[in-house]
Amino acid sequence: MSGKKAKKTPAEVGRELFEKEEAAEREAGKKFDPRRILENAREIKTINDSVLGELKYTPLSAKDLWGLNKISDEWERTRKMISLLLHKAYPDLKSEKDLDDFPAQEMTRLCELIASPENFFHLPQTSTPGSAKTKTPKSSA
Amino acid sequence: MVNTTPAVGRNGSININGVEAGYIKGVTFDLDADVIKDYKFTSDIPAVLESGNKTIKFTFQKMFIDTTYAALVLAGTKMTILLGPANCTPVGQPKYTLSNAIVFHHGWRDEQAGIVIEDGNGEAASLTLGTY
Repeated sequence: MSGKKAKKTPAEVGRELFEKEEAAEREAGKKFDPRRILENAREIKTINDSVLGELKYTPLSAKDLWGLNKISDEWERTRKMISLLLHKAYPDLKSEKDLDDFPAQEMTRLCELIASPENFFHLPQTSTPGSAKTKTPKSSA
Repeated sequence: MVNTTPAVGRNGSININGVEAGYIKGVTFDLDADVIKDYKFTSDIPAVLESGNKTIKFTFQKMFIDTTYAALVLAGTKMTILLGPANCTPVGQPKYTLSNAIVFHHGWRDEQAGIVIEDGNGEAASLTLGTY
């Protein structure tokens, strides 16, 4: 029979084995893992800002968000949020009152960083499969 | 001591006694050479400056060895490692040949067709640069 498959060489066998393993690892990385999420939440993270320099913080927990939701005053909520983000990485900042002596420039920059979700919150851009429908202008004719 | 810049992410095949025996992934090199240096009286410029005894070390992420050759590799048999840039071996691409290489493995596991050594390192007698 001419259609008989040629035997794979050891290099081909090894390459295919590693490719399969890596594909399985990538797939496993996508799975919901509460333990890994909790470990990740406890880690001190760093962002590099052009104004403030290297800035360390810990992500907000669900409990933090529920607490913030109860604060109606916007300024109080922002101040509390900054304090919650920074206090584990900077133990000297024990409460939001410690932020009151910050110069306005730095405080304003912190507020600007909070306003952009990609800074502290790493919110992924949500997308739907396939390309979005584009709106075409209606013909006037 | 002289260090080369490591070439990251090179993959390739493993030959033992001229026969293909496996596959290697994520290889980096590190070349050390002793410095031979001597001075004359009345001069602070070296009269002799040469590269001396060389040590060619390499590390790898994963190595697959066919069952037929697994015992040989684990026993320290010398092998030839042929490497190309990231699994790409078309004509004209750089080719690195590590000759008489031995592996100091950090544990291994059995697979159906052979063994896999992970995060290993080793030394080779020579490193030749060429093209495919």
